Amino acid sequence: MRQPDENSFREWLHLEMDGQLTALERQRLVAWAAEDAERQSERTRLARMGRLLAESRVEAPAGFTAALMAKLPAAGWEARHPRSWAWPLVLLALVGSLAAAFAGLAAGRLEPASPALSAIAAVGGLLAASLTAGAGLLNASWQGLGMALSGLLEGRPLNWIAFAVLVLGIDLLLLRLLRRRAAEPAGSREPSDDRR
Amino acid sequence: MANDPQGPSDAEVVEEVLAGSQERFGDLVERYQGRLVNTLFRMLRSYEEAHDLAQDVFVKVYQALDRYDPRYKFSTWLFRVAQNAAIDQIRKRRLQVVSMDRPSDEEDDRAWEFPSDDPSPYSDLRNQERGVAIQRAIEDLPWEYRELIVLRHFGELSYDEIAQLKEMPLGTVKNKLFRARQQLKKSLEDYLVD
Repeated sequence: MRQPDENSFREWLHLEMDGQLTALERQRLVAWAAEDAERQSERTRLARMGRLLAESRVEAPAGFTAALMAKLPAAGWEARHPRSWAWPLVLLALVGSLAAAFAGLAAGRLEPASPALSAIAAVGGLLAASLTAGAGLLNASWQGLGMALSGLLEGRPLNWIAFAVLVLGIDLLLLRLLRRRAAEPAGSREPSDDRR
Repeated sequence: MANDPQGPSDAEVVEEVLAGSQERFGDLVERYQGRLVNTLFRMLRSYEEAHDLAQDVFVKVYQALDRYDPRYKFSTWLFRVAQNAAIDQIRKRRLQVVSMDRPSDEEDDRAWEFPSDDPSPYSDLRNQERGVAIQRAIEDLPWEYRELIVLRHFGELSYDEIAQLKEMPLGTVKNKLFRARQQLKKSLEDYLVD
């Protein structure tokens, strides 16, 4: 194996301090340092400095994590990862399937085999009826809203412009709500008037 | 350390937090709080401020977690946010015309003390002197050296992490760090001899 030069050994002194040398490299470094008192002194002083710096570290205050966790904002629905929607979607699909089955029973397409199933079918029928009624109401109200809006905008360019501005404003507001602040810029910064 | 070989990696924990387990963020905090508080403490010279800013940095990182890119190390990202926050804080302080050249009377000098089992007043004094000497030696370094020393010895970041964080070639990081240590060694000579 080729013998490292003086500069490499000097670099190894630092790598040793950082615990980055292999056992074999360390062994060679020790042998190299033992050849000369200055090298040995350099090695000892670097190791001491490493210890000195390590010993001067402070402890994080007790209760740091608990205090921080209490500060975290609750995650809004828009901030949730797509994966977190998996279970609610499965649940929704299950409820939907059940509702469809009840609706099917209620419509008589499936034959209930017992009084209990008939009761469930009746509840299903009730649910289906209320859903139909709700949908009808929603449809009517949207239709009403649409008619009112078209009446308002018809033949009035100024109203169209006001409407467009309103829609744009709402869009921007939504965008602002959904968008999170951009990440911290990369790169090195330093206090402008720091001592050099 | 950043990634306990026994436990999940930082990236895995981040993924769990993003999947809805907010409480898992506490694991990341546990992993990094000491290193972050130490780094900020050395930059800001105030334990209270370092503590408060570390909390703010963690909250900021939590809020931006969905934009974390797992191709990079979480530690690098966290320390970049922390470093920028510390620099902003220093600038803000300077606007308040507070002398930053040396720890002021308002700063808690006890914070520089070494932990010691020896309760004698002489030991306390010696520890405090040593703590202040270390801080002054660090402050006497040029900024570019100072931040590398702080990141390596107080943030406990590896050379690779520092290179990524500072966007410097690995060789440059080593070179600067080694030079910084030579300078630091000179300043602390009295504490390194037998």
